Amino acid sequence: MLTTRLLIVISLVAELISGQSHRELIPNISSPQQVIWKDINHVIFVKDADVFEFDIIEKTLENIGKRKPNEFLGLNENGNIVLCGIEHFMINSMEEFSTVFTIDGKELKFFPTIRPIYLKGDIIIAMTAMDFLEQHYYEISISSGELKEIEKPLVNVKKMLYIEEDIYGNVYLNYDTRKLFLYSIRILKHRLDLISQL
Amino acid sequence: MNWNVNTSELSKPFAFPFKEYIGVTQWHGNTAFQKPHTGIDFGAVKKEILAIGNGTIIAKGWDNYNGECMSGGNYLLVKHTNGMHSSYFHLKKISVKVRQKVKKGEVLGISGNTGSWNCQPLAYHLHFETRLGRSQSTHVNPIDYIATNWSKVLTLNYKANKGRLSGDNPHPKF
Repeated sequence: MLTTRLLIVISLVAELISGQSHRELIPNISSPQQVIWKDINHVIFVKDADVFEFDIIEKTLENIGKRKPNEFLGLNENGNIVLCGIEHFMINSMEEFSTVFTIDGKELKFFPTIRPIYLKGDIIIAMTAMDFLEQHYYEISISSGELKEIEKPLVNVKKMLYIEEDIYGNVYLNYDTRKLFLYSIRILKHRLDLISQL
Repeated sequence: MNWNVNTSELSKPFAFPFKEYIGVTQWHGNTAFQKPHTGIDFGAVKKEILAIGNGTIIAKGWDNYNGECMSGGNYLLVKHTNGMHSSYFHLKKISVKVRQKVKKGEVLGISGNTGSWNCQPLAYHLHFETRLGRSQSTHVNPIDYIATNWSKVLTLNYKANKGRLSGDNPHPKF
């Protein structure tokens, strides 16, 4: 028993020194269309018509709902799931709308043919829907319906905990051991500071 | 005697439309984006385009067959000596004239991003077709007529857009 614990400690120290990350397979999910961090303990996966929530502490996966093929999933200002319907139309002039997004019954109409890639609170980040067109990125305010062009948003910024997919579609929860360790030290220091202020 | 020659490649009458291998953004056939896609889209940015075989330039100009909002931009149509045709769309520059005879490998122009889809600008690419006759409806898969090592013609950026692997892709995994 003691030897096992010692080996675990040694392997953790070795990972810390090498800066390697540790990953664990999330079962029963493959090639999700969307991955959304609901909060620090819960990840939402959209797989075809189903919406799943994975609890990273309890390691449980729960089917929490359905979506249509033309719906994109996001989180509203209260952190609850919201669906954005997407419709595209062929047009004959720049005065027409080629995209309609529908959120909570509200229709947002736009000239460019776009699709959402991020939806949180009042903001939708969208990009050109067809990859044979010149690629543009937009920020949309759901409340005002205003669309403005933006630079390509940064993606794949690796955090302490992140979801990764391999070439076979398997999905993993990754831990960057070194960052987790530093984070734990910061939390500990913060708590000690609070105690010392009492 | 084994000459180690791929005879099926020798039977193909045409050459690759570029001086170098250039990747594909949409293959011919029923793809995730168009059913059917009548040619192959090469992800070429301002590259010289070449005659795939001996022939005559029979048409060039601005394609507005489907209206102002759905245009192939500057295009070129070549009739080859075997009766087949090849067409090039979205060109930046055309350097040949109608009725001009061209030789296999001769530079015809520069690829570009002219034209539009749904009133919106296209990304740089060459839409290239091989046809049995003059009409677009006679389109055939260029892979069956162009002698090149297609395993070196990769599908561009397919990891971000798996739909690009679809259609008559000769190597469906890349």
